[in-house]
Amino acid sequence: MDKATLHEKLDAYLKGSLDAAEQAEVRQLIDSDKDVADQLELVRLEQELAEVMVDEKLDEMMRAWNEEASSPAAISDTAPKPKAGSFPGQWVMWGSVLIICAGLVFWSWPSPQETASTDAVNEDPPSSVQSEDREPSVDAPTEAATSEPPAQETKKAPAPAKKESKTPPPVASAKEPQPSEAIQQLALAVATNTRATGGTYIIRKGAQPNESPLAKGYRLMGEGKLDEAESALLKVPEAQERRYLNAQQYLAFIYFEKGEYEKSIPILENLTQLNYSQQAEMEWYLALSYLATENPKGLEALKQVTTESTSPEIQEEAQQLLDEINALD
Amino acid sequence: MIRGSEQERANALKAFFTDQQLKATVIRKIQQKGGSANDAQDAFQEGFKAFYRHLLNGKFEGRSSLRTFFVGICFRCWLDGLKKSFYQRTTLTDKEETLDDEYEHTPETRMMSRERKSQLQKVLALLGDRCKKVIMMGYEGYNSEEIKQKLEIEAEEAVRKIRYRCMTKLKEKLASQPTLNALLKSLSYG
Repeated sequence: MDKATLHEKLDAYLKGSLDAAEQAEVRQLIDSDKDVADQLELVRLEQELAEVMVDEKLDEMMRAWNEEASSPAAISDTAPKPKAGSFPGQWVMWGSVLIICAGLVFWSWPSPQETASTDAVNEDPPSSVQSEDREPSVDAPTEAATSEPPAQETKKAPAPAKKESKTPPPVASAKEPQPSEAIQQLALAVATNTRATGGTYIIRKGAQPNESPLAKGYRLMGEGKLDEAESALLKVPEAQERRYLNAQQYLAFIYFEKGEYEKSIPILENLTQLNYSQQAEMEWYLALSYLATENPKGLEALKQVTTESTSPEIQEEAQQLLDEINALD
Repeated sequence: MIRGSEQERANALKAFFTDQQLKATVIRKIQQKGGSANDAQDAFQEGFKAFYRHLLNGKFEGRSSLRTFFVGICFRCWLDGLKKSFYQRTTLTDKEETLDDEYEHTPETRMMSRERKSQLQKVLALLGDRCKKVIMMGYEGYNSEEIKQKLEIEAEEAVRKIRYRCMTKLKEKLASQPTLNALLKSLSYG
């Protein structure tokens, strides 16, 4: 083995990246040959030097990010957006909310014809935009579609999973919206702009050897392959308690992001009771999921987030939504 | 292990570092245990560097979420700092702090003493720019092909040789600086 190759091997030895047999072989070499032992010290020094350089590089980066964050011009761009997607941010979202509010007022203003047919309108079944209007993904169950009034079927709302549209599902019928329905629209507008899986920041490309279902699901989630991630995470056995809870949390985020709120709710309810990690996010997603499905617990959960969330950013977002809802009255 | 281009890595790290919720979680966790806000800030920054090192060394195995892993590392950094009395202002709420179960998969975080770091910086000054770059990129997990391209080295094989030669020359230079050499040997971690 030439010295450059040995140097590389010793580096791998110190990092623990050799397999057991190679590790033992290198250990033996170190013990039996003083030159190799000296070389090992040199590799150790090299790693320490690299560590210092990387630390210095990170110090510099952190300084720059801190400066960027504290510069007034940058605040609006770099301020924390816990779940805002990459495009185009809260302006569009809140703009959409305002348009909806205007639409609600417009639609609720009775025309002469509507006044004449008030009785007929009142006889319509309550709308359930949450079901078919949310256009579940291909593998999502479709059992909720049955109560859809025909008038709404002709004007489908965009699916929450389509983050690019940033347009909340419109109220389609000309009948007066129920208060809970209007709240639902507002909640959907926020929920569809919320990227629950956005916390998977680190770029991981390609499968790793002996990848566990949890690691695979996490990686796929980071790659935006939510359906595949879901399949992998569902394979984490319940017996692996800690991993199972971890997988459940990721599943809840995936369901939430896909607009499958009925599926995300029970998981989030369970995990928030356990006081699991990312509690603030989960409470917020749970409140939004309730509101998006017209669950009566929604408003209470939202109010709780506005007062008790440990995340100031989430509190602020929740408060904005609550203000919008209050303005409906 | 982080993969991806230099820019992708920087973006990923920035997203993590500037995540205010994550920072708030770390600070809250440390404050709950009696740490001051300043100590928690320091631990967040130290933890961030240790976090990156752990990722580079393949210590993240997906046994917890990445955020939990990160918070655990920061918490360990804080505990480690306490043991070394880095944080004199801290008053502990309990006699001995330990990691919560949630962070059991967080690896031990080795902190380099300031003295050793300072000596290593002197050693670094003995290295040329190209040597520094090859060593750092190797540590950051870039393969020989990527290093070859980035530093415009002719052949992949040359990358390994350059790295070896740089360190051998450094050894020779250190031999001519007995004081620095002796200090290096006497100062270990922490």
